[in-house]
Amino acid sequence: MLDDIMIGQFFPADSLLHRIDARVKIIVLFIFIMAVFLCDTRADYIVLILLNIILMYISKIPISMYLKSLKPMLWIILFTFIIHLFGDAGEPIVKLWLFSATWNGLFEGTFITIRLFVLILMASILTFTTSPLVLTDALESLLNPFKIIGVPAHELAMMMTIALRFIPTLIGETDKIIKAQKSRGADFSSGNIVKRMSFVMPILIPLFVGAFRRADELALAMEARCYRGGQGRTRMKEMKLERLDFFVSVLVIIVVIVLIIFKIKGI
Amino acid sequence: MAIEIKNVTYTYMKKTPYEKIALKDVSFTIPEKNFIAVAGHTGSGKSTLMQHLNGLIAPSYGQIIVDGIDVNSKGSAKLKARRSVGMVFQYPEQQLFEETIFADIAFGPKNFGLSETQIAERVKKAMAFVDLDYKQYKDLSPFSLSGGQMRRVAIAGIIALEPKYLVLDEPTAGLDPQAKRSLLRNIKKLYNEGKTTIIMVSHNMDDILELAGRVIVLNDGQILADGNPKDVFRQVNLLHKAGLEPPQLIQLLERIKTEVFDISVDKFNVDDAADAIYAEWRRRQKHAR
Ligand SMILES: Nc1ncnc2c1ncn2[C@@H]1O[C@H](COP(=O)(O)OP(=O)(O)OP(=O)(O)O)[C@@H](O)[C@H]1O
Ligand SMILES: [Mg+2]
Repeated sequence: MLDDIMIGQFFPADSLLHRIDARVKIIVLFIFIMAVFLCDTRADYIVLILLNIILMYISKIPISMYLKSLKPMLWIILFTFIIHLFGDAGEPIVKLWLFSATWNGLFEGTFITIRLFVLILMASILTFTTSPLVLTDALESLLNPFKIIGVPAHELAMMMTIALRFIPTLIGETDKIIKAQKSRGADFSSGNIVKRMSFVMPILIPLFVGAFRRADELALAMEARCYRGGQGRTRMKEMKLERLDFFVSVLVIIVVIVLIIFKIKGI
Repeated sequence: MAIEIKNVTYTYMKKTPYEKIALKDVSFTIPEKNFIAVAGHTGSGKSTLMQHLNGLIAPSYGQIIVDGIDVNSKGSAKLKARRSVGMVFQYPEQQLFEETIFADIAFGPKNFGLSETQIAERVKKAMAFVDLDYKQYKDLSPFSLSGGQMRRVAIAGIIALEPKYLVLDEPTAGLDPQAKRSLLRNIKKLYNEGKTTIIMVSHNMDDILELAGRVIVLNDGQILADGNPKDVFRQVNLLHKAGLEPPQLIQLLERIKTEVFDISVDKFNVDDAADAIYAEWRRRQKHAR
């Protein structure tokens, strides 16, 4: 039932993207996100979409997974599209009561939709090809320089690791509790909204009780293993930049330059 | 009247790289008023199979028919079929949520639409079933109890539904020996009253031998053996293949057989085994003289 949630899921595979240093991947993602927001011509979009498709292809992860990652955001995207379609001024296509869809709105809406798709897919490429542990390690490493101005890099990374670690656990637990309450006659699929809402508590309470218990146990287990924060901690696998990472960086810089040229030339 | 499991196949996380076939073409029938045990190693698909019985999981392929009604069919008849199967989950104590024990046990009966007086009666009976004193416990918070007591409240929550088919997924896991014995005794008592069909998942072959009239051994999502526990447990190799340990007594006889003298291993109670060992020992002594 809750099997379908694909955000933040990691898929181990042996692809080029899996092998790139996570820090490089994060920075590249960051650059692309900015690029997406700066893009506004058709040529820009074509470059971005092509790039996205190529990356999805070489990640060796089935396209259906990417489509699934779009699913939870579909309503928000549709909503944005409709707002644009009816909200923008311009030459009307059809009139519905007080609102009218405009050509201008159609184009804007489509661009925004593509933009959001590209953003989600980019983020999915990162999380699909990078294990959560490596991802947080990379974040910590990237945040390290900011320690001087008081950013608790290690603590943030640890919090993220723990949160990520427990997402599947909590999803599994929710699934189990829903099933258990269903077995006791809780019915989530019929009756009016008040009746359905009354079955939220029987799920939330056990879920929270379980989460707090786990948090307690985890804190105890960490303390028992003498966890004292990040000071002086070393790691078993040091992150090292390899030839591949430099190669990717150069490639990305070229793409960015191309986009900038497009921008200046106004293609 | 029976639960029929017909060619059930189930795949978790279908069409993802994590795809896992948990059940492969499983078919068997659970006739009314039987006590059936399901055994198998960790991950063999026991819990998955159990969750099919009241429609919590719909099979990827195949059918579950309860008293002639497909539990996954459309329409209102399926609800009655589903509700005739009571399901006690593995570690059920995690599903408690109400402020008082009474209210928690009453949750199910209330959803089933029983009247207040019926509910009170059911709760009383269910608490007696799990050996919790009604007066003493009914107004306590379930979260103030020990793990074992919470388990009892959770089981009472299902017992109060008075299901025709009672499914218990490892009900004794993690209980202390005494609590375990009293729970099993009560399950046996409920069965002996003759109104309830019991399907129990267990890792303990001794319990199965003592309680169940039939055992189904699952191995990697397929049925490896199905029959009277005595007949199944005789096949020690088969048990080992399924990653299970034979009952203690049979293990002992096996060792005597391989390390001391030849003796038949199919003895299922201590007296028979002792007699057989004694007879063989006497025979050898006579020979020695
Ligand atoms: N929600 C799930 N998502 C994906 N795979 C699952 C899920 N639940 C179970 N599985 C897989 O299905 C297989 C069967 O699991 P199941 O829980 O039925 O085993 P079991 O026989 O009950 O084991 P145990 O004795 O540990 O309770 C296992 O390999 C498990 O990894
Ligand atoms: Mg199980």
